[in-house]
Amino acid sequence: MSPGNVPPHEMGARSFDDDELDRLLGGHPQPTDQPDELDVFVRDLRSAFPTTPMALEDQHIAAMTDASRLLADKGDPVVRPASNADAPAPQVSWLPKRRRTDMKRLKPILTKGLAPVFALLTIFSGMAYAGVLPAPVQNAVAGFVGADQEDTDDPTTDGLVDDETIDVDDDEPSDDQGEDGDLPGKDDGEANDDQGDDGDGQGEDADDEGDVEGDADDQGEDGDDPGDDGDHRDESDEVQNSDDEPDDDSDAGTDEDADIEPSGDEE
Amino acid sequence: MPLGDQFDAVLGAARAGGDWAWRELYRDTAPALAGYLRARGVTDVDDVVGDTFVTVVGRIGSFSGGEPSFRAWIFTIGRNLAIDAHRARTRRPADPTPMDVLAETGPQGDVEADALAQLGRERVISVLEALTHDQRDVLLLRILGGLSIDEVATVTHRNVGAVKMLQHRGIGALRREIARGAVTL
Repeated sequence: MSPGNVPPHEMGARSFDDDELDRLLGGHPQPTDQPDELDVFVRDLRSAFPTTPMALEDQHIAAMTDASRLLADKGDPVVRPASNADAPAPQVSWLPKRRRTDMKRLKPILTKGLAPVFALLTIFSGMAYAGVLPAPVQNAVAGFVGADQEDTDDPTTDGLVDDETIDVDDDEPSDDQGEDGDLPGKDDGEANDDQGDDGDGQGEDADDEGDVEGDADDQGEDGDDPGDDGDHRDESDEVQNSDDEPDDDSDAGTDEDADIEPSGDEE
Repeated sequence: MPLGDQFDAVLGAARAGGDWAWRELYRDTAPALAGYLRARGVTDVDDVVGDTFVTVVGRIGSFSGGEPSFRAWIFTIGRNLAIDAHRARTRRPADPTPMDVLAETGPQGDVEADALAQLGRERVISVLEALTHDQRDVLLLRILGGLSIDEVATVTHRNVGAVKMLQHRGIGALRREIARGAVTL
């Protein structure tokens, strides 16, 4: 580089190597270094912006200490906020949203489906209690509820016998005895099922020996709970008594009819 | 005064919550950071320094390195906060400094010495204004922050070559400004 290419203000300027420049900018020039205008500027700059102790040192240290303690306390928070301020909403409020969704699904079902049923039940219950229902329905409801004794003249008569009488008259599907009468020769199977609930299937069950055994199993299960099924046994006994004697034959065909056999003995 | 060999022990104590350790780290770095921020033209230097060290406390778990890296890390946080404060100040009017703070930090004692110091500062600032923003930033970090080329590169998010180039051009601009005779040093 010729002197003609150097700007006039850089004619007498020193060139620094990296180490010398580091010492100069770091404020540690060696004594052997010749003073330079840049060196003077660095000293003036340091004196203009001195690294004096901070006036608010105590306040800053106090703020740092508080921040440090807050961070230490964050490790095990005692109470977590219920809001979703510190987490995405789906994570924090998942359960309430699910409940709201379920309630939205159930609400139309409850209002449109169950409410009319409850209303009808309430109306019929009131009418049945007042006794304004038609006589067959009133008797059926009374038998279902167990208040059929009010309708019978003879208080000593068993309600189940009355039901059977009514069922025979009305020829309803749940009428066991009427079906028994309609299906002669199949009474053996039906006689084991005469609990009244399975009236529709009794005629069919009579054809199937397995069903008869299943029914007999049901009786055996009932026998496991003597406290609850004592009435049923009595009812079945009464049904058998009111029915035919051939029940004993069907009972003899099942091994588990020990509960029923004593009724035959009583007879 | 640099902590030197004691730095690791002090940093470990600070991480464990020792107040004395935080004070040592503060005294080691805060004055240089405050001088750098003042030379950058930051008006609320104390606020920025305080925010810087509170941020350091919150993020101390993510730091790893020696004392030079720690200084560079603190200057990085302080520089970023100063930039944020400058942007915020341009969006809203500045709040006046309370009188008690001014009484503590303002000029005290010898009026002549304060006047000379103010005059010398104005001269230095006028020279620095001849530099570009990046050149001034690099030279201030080198001179007032006491950072090396690598540390300045870390703070300014530049590579070492770019920092060297900025430094070289900044020194050249300083020489030109001084030789022009705009100021008398």
